[in-house]
Amino acid sequence: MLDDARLARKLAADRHGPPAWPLALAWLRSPGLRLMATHRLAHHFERTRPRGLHRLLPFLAAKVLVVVARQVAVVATKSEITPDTRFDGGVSLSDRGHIIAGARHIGSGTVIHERVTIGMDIRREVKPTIGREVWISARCVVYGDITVGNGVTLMPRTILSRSVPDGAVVEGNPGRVVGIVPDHAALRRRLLDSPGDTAADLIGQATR
Amino acid sequence: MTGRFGTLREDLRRYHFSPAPLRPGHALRSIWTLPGFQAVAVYRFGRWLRECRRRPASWPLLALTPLFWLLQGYVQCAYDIRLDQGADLGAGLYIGHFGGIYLASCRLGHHCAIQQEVRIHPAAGDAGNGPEIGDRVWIGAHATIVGQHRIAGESTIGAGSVVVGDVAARCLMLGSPARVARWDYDNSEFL
Repeated sequence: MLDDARLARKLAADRHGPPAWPLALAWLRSPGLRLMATHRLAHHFERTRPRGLHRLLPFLAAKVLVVVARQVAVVATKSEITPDTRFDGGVSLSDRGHIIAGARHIGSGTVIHERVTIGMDIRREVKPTIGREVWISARCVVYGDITVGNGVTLMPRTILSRSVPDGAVVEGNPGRVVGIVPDHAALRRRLLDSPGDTAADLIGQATR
Repeated sequence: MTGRFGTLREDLRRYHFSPAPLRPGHALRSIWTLPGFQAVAVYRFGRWLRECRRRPASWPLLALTPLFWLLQGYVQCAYDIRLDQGADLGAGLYIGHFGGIYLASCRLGHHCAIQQEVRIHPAAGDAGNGPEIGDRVWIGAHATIVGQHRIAGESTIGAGSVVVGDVAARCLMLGSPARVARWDYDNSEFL
């Protein structure tokens, strides 16, 4: 959970310079972090059972608290994350919310922007697996029995239903791999600065 | 009145996936836990009030209008589902998730399904005439249907597709702009 806050701090630092707020206040500032925290708690409570009868009451009380906190976060960010989704430490969810996510596994360092859907194909009910350090831009849809490799960047409004290899840049509807770049940091910085650019422009600028 | 509740019961049945008959307990839990059903129920309540306005005998019932405004405001603020009263939505509407849903001045047949981030409304220039959508149409997440398009019955609009023209019956449409990915596509197993 601390890794989430560290990642949020790193992203803020990349964007606006070193943040003035301490790590402990990260959850006060960010609805996305609160959503992530309540999801992690709900995921934990989904799999644990109270050991012994004397622990039943505290367990139930904690569970009710978590359910209420999660519901508040869900309504505040308009996001829904299925409790069985496994997140590694250090995943960033957008503060602007509207994220509907049900995945098998989401790797560490992944950044999910607003209005993103990650879900299953309606016919074969199998969910995607997202690798490490994946960048999912706004309004993307990722669905089906697929694996998104490590360090992939999805351009805004990508609709992806096929597996993509490590380091790919994916764009379009339906989503296609437009290039495999070694360093995505420059590309992502450019993407934040000029969200209207196509992947070809950005790759050209980043490799120049 | 019974007809209104019949429509609502039809809606509720869509969220109840097992073949067992619907019990009152199920209905109560659904009202409590399903944002999509809450939104549809509030929409139907508004349409019912609208019918009451036409019959002078039921004008006292219009005292419930502020309650409708309150509920509609709640659904819009909490779930970001906007079902405009100008939209004509058929019975048995299923809304899978919530967030970014906007339906205005359109016609939807019965037994349709829509998902999050779906937008169905007239284009900026069209005077009130929105899309017309047939029965048993499944509309995937992030789909956009803007303008006077006709979508025939039993077709499937895939996730993220942007419909820019009329759609024939039993088609699977994918992409932006949406193209026919498969003719004679059967959507009955997941609808």
